[in-house]
Amino acid sequence: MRRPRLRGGLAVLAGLVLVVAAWGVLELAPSTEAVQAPIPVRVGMGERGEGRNIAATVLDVVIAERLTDEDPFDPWNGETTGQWIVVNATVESTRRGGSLDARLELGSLSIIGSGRPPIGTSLQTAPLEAGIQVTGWVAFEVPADAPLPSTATIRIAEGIDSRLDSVITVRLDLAGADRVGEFVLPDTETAAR
Amino acid sequence: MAVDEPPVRARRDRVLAWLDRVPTLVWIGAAALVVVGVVALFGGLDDAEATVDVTELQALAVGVASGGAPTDVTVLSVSRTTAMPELWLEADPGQEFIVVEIDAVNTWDRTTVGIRSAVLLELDGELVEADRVMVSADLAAVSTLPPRVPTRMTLIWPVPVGAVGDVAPVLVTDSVFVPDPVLLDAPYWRDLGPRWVVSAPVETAPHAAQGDGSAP
Repeated sequence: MRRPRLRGGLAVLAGLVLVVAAWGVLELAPSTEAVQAPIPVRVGMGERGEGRNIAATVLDVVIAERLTDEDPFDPWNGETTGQWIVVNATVESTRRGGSLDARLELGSLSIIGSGRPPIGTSLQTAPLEAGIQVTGWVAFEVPADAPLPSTATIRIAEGIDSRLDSVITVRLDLAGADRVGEFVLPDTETAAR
Repeated sequence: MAVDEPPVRARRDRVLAWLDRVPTLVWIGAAALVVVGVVALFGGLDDAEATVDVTELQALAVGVASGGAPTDVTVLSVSRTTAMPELWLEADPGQEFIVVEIDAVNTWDRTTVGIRSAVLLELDGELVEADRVMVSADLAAVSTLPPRVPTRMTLIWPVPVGAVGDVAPVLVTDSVFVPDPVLLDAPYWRDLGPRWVVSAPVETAPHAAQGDGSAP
């Protein structure tokens, strides 16, 4: 009479152990976001980072209260209630044509490069052709309600979907960056073929 | 213990044999019909809600922030015009532009992409998104808002003349954050639809956008 009861008890215990083990596996397993995370290529300012489909060299960073462009007849009015962090870089799509996706990690904030600057003055909206270097600036509109951290990180990828693909990652020294009232965005320059 | 009588057992066997002959696909079809029936019973097959009863929404005054998420919207003004020279825009015959100016703040810590659906116009019970969404300072068309940068924006709807009376029902939507979605890879904001209505007086202006006046 005792054996079936004992067997039943063991079965319940084994079931509980399996449930706990399954929970443990679930907790230990990396999230989908982590499994599909981009592959960072970390380089410093002035160094060329090259990934599977993108290469980039970050050259300079400037903090500005206002942006404009070089158009003498109809200058762009890049006013903001925040401030601008503008980053100068040379980028190159290494496999196929496409577009750039630049993001700034600023403290807890993640900011996509602004689409406000006129076409031709921003790397964020510049078309990329395979093997052709483009040099220019990408502008990030950031809040002005708190002091800027001393550093930020720019992440440069080819296309908006960088899952499991290369992202050139460069730490920016904001404490040492030039601060200006107005910054004039020059036109992007495409290297000769 | 009761034992089935032979006639009863025979009848049960006949029923089971008949059921056994029914193809599996028929069972699957019948189950699907039951599911569809239950869904229909609870309104799941009704047309998607494209209209809204503005009387059920929370009233919001002009100049008052909605406090919505992730975009906190303050409706500042509404005007009508037939031409916006700074945008090289002229209304078609029988049409006019309704121009809404707002202050918008993305309160999330990432750039958001839902600014177009944050403010709607109610036209004959239909919810209509703006045809153009621009930053007022430079009239740059944008689809994103950077985090925590208050931005004055200009939204434009082309509408038939007379479709909007002296008071425009401007609807402001709200969303809820889904941090750990089941099917998607990343957290997102689920649109809850309109939550506030701003009954804004419509001013008539030759052109209402606040750009620097120069043609692009």
